[in-house]
Amino acid sequence: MRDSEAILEVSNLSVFYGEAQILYDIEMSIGKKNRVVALLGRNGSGKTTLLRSIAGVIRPTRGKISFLGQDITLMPAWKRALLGLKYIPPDKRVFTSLTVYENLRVAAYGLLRTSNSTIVDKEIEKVLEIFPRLRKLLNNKALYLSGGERQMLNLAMSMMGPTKLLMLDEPTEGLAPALVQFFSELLDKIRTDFPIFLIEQNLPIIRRLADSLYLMKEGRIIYHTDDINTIRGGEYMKLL
Amino acid sequence: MMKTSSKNFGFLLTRNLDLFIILIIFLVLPRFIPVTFAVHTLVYGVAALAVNVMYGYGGLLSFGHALLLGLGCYGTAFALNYLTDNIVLAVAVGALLTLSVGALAGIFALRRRDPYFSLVMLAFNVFFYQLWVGPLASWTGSDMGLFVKLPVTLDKSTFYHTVLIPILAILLVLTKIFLKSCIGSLLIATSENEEKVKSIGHNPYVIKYIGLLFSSFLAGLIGTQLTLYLAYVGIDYISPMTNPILVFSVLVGGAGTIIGPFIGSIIYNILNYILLVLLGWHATIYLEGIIGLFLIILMIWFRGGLYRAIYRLIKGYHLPDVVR
Repeated sequence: MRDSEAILEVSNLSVFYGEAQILYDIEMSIGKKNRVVALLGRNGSGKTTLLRSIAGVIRPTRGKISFLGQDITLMPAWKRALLGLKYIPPDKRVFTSLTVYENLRVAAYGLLRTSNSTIVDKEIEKVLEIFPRLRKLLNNKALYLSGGERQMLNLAMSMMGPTKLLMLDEPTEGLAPALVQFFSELLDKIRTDFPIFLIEQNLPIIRRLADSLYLMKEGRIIYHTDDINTIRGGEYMKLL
Repeated sequence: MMKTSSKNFGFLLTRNLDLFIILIIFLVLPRFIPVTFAVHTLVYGVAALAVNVMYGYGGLLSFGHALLLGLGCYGTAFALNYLTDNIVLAVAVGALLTLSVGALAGIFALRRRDPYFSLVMLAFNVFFYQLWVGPLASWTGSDMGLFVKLPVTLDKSTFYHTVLIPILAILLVLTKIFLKSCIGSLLIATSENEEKVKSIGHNPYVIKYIGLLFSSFLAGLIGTQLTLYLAYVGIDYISPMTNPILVFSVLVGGAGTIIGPFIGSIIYNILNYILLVLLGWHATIYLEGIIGLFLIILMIWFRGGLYRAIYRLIKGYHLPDVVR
């Protein structure tokens, strides 16, 4: 899919760590019609490096990344977030010295680009509707949250303000089955609001939610399909 | 009505107990040590608090804050000697000079995290110190120091109680407000995880820069008061050799707490005073050795600083890494 309907376009992207090449000439695209685009691959195949490059955490050695028609290859990560390109890393990152409310507040101030506390509190209220469990934890330090609660807070922070594409790196990793179910249902719900680019090892989630799929192996995209029936089938797993 | 106001005061007291403790300690301190020692304890305490804003809350250890303290001192001295008789204006000049140099140093120092931040701050301090003792010696008095023409002089004890204590109170309240504000929360967040800070649309460089400006303001403003108290500025205040005292105060007292730097400063200055009383003016030779010993003991048994150790002893549980 290489057309004006693309939200994200990656072309000829290569990334090196020192002398080691991690990504080789990656070509991919996420369209406005896509709801959940899944990225599958074994550990060390370069999935996280690709997401981090798109998010601006890593500067690619060569290639181009366009977001909403704008070249963002050299744009700093915080500016990409303001464009609505949200990245949620795999390790449930929250600010442990701050309370849950303070975590939400700093995210709202950043992503809404406002100092109006009424607007900020309104936005916080909006994400608390999605994550009601966080409401009674607002005054607790994030340090004392469980893994699932941290992931909820992590997601809630990134969902503040306008979101054009949400990139999630293994959001259900290390969570209890009930929480995996919760996040799976949540992704199902929010995918109608904005497209999701998802790295996930939990195949049933991919089969249920994804409408586009990329497979990665040894730093290369080796397979791509937009066919939902093929994604449901899961035959492509043999390629990994 | 009465009940509500006493309830409000109780709430205010418990939320800001650390500030009240610091103020009470400094109110009674001149009963135990000479006023000049109390003044130095207070000044070094605030300068160490400025270091702590960057280190304890922002995760950036500075070895250049003596420059900021010294510029506050010298800025006021220059203004009073060469520009004006207006004390408020002279204080403003001292604070502005500190802020300007802090802003300049920040442009370079904040590009990198530790140890580069520490080294660039130290480099700035050394550079200005060399300027002070070399090319600008005729203005600064070099290592002889600079005497200041004060338009009004107050009795030392009166100055301490009517000027320094209220300024300390104001600076403590401002620090509390800063640390509780969104920018204070972001400074702490930046020290924890810059990548996450970027992912929520903030530029960590700007956050750290604002932190450094606030920190410069604290160090500079208290420096201006030292000049007004002593009517003299010694080269020691701008010397890079003063930085270990400030860092010592933060580490010994407790980084990431408001009260910690003051505990450290009290220990340093009282130790200095006791040695002086016991051994005379050459006591400072021993002081550095004792400080070294203190740091070794601290690093082994009280890594979080004395305030945390005392807190654990009284309350039975650990204080968090950051206390606001």
